[in-house]
Amino acid sequence: MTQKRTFASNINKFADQKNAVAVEQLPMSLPCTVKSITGALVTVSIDVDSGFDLPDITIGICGFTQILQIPISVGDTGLAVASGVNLVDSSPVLRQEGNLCGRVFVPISNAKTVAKNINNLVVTSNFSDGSYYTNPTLMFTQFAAFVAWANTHKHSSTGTPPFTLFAGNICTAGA
Amino acid sequence: MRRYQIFIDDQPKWQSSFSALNIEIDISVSDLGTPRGNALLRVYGVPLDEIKTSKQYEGKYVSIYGGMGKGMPLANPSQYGLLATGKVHQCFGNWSGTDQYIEFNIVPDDRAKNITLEWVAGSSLGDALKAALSAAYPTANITNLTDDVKLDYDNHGYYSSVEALATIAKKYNPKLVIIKNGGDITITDKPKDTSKTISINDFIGQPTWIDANTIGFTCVMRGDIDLTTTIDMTMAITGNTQQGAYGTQKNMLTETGKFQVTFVRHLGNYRNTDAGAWSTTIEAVTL
Repeated sequence: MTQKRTFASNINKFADQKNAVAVEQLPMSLPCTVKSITGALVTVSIDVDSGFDLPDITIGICGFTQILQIPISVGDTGLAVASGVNLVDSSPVLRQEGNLCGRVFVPISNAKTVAKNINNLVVTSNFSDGSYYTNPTLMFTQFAAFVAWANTHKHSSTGTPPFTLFAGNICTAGA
Repeated sequence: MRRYQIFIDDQPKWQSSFSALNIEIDISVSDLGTPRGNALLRVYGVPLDEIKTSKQYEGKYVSIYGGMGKGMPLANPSQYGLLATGKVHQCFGNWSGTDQYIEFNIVPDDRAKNITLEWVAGSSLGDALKAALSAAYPTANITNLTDDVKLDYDNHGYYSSVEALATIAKKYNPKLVIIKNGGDITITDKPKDTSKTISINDFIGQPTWIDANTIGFTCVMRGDIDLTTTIDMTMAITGNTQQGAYGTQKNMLTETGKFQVTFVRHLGNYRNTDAGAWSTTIEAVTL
């Protein structure tokens, strides 16, 4: 007498609700911005309008290994890619973690990123082997100085400048 | 004598007597990670004016007390107590045939939304849950009784419901339950210290094993038994009625001793003469 709705509609609604809970417990990859950098880890804020008060998370950087380490600066945008298991600790366990856990920072561009030149590998920071560093600006100014010296110096044996000049071929970006 | 009292916003509204209204109740009490549906209360014999204005009860808090009062030799008034307290989600009247009643659909509380768990490396799960629930239920009185589970990495998460939060928490501490009772929330992984006895007089039918280390039985309505209550069944002389049991096992004593209550369902129909119409079904795990 009091059965107002059919079993079929109730069981479908039940399944929908259970499914929604299970899906929410799985992590989604989310856009983020670097707030600080500590060692090989970045602390990022999650950039989604969710209604949740999402905490900042400290995660590793994609492509950041012992032999190749890419530069990251505060304010860089990226994606906090979800793996589902803890990645920061050295001994991850195969179990379902919190849905903000187990992420890695992948830098990505967005509409505000200034494209320097799409045809070139652009590096605006230093190259380093851990002990010494240089950078493209330093290399270019030093190479230009070398070219100038090579084309103007006088040989000590003859006292004459070089017979043929060395072009050096430093091109401006985009050429 | 069966006994009940129903309070609405802490004011007594209906209670048992020789001329009391008939009520029906179906109240499932479980932890927030194991939802078992909303509670039902139906009050028969109310006047038409009450049916017309039944919507007035929506959003109010209802406390339902039940059990047995003084009377027959086996009735034990000490088993009378609070069955459930909750918020009226829906209330509607009905007049069908000779039945005039109002029906309450009662939920533990407003559903908390947008819960953020910040479980920082080195901090305990119970403390992180308490902080998360404090934000979700700002006025609740929250108690954390759990043993510490700590990780050496941050494990944050966001959840739309306490159910989702509680099921994730159980992955780290399977015994952990979050219990909401009115304005009190308890996060615990331990049985209560005081134990309640289920005597052989109280049983309605046989206890049965319903899952690994889990027993289920029906007894007279017990308002004194709540989630995580320790129950003592050492006095019960009952057979093992598990379907797969060998004939010799069926004649053996079932597991006796102490159990921890994991689920309680109170079923009541005040004027129905059947024993099962004023009963509590309990699921409990071995301790």
